[in-house]
Amino acid sequence: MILLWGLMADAPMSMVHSELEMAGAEFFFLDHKKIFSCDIEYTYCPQKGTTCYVHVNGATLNLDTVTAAYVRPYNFRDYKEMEGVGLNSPKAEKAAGFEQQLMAYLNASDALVINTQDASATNNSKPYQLSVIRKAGFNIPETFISNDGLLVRRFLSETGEAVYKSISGVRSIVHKVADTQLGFIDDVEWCPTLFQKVVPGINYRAHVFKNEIYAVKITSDSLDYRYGKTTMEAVELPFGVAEKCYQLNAMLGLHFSGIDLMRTDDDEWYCFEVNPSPAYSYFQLNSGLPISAALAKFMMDAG
Amino acid sequence: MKKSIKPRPLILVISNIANEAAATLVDMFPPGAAALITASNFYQSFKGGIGVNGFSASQLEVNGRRVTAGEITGVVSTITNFFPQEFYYIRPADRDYVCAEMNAFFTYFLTELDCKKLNPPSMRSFSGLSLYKTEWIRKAQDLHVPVWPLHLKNGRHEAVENIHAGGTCRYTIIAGKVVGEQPPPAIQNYLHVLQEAFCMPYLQCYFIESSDNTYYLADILSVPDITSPLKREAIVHFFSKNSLYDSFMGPDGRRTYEHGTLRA
Repeated sequence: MILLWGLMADAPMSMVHSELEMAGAEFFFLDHKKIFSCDIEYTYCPQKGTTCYVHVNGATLNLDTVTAAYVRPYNFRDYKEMEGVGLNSPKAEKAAGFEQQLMAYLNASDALVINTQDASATNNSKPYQLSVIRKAGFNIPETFISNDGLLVRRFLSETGEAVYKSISGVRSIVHKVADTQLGFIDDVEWCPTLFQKVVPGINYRAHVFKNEIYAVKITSDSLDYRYGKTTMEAVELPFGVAEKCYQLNAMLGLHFSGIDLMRTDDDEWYCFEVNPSPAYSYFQLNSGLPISAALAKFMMDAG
Repeated sequence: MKKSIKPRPLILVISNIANEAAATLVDMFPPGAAALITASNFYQSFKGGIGVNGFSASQLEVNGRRVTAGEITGVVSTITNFFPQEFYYIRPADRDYVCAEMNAFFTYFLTELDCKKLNPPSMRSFSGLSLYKTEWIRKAQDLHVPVWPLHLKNGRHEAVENIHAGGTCRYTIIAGKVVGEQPPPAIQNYLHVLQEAFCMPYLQCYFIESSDNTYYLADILSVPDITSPLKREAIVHFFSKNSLYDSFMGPDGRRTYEHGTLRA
């Protein structure tokens, strides 16, 4: 049994849903929108061991039968059912409890989970992830974190062109440090800030499974290609780069990831970030790569 | 032959401003050997420039003392993470963001430090694994540690029928030594087995004794509780010894366990 947990309005979820349907796979779609009417029950007793069931609208799923899961939970606090409802209300506490219990169960399960909470959490600390990226053999841009204006000025004067971005998983648009911002550099004393040397080159995005990679080359008029005029073409990565992608995926404990790469004019490969819950649909629609089919097959093979 | 100069120790105690025991713990170390770091005093007590490409050479100023990251000899984290309300000096609209950034920074910083840690951080906590019950139950079962029955519904405990508990007890183990009163041999064995399996130098475990005198594991905590003087003394002792648990970090930056080191 394959478990899908997320929203049908989310393209990566709906695309893999269609693929599984077309393939006639046995799967259970757990609609995240229905989180307020879902229950999860876990029982452990020394004689019988553990059982765990999810109940939703009269249907029941025995989580022990799940061999693969694709999870893209959303923030239920943003749902309209939560309008005017306090975060400490029984409704919110039940939903949070459901989410926490399900993710914890999947974390410890033998099923192929794309991706577990622990593996996904590596994206919540960019410098942590960068240190693992480096250990996987990729170059990483020179990266400096500081809450000392003096040290930041020194880094910027030695580095040349640099960008700043969030340290955490909070989504931020990557910006170059402009001359006008130098006057505010001392504000870093209130919050450590991450600066990174600009690496010029061509962007690549690799969607990585255990033994398969779907890569695109990206041309964009914007530093952050998500926010510019962008074109993509499917490409094959050099063998050594692909090997490092597999290695990185495994080191982070991920089964499926979106790896952001940069190839410089000197043919050096840099890695900026690994997305543990990639919105692959954007790349599939722009390049024609069959990523959703590969994802569906990957989960079906786990059974 | 050139004599190597041993750096003066610097132990970071990560806590929150309300935990008075943290300041007491700092005072139990030799003067200047430990520093208290909280979200509330961070901007005054900690200045740093951290190079991700060369972490150990990163420059820090902790309570006015200049050190490199490589000169920090120990960490005690008494919290899992910072909370937005601790950043009272940041305007309310920005506190969530600053808090997320600080948590992300500390997750990395504590992971990279190559020193003794009570406890090593994980992606979920500044200290220890922060495991959900259903996660450690699985591990305890594999280790043949009896586990007290449990029924959870949407994260809440529900009553388990036909269960008659005897007394409850809790024990803390730090680097292979049980703190305070010694437990029965069965519990002593469970504590050692769990400590090895979870790779945590600090573990606090709760046990329930059934009517047939069997001990069942009921809970595990891996964030050091420093409220008891006995535990604080044990922690100071842990950092005063050389060689044991020099590092829990493996070459790939992830948590590893060195059996040889524990048994040394």
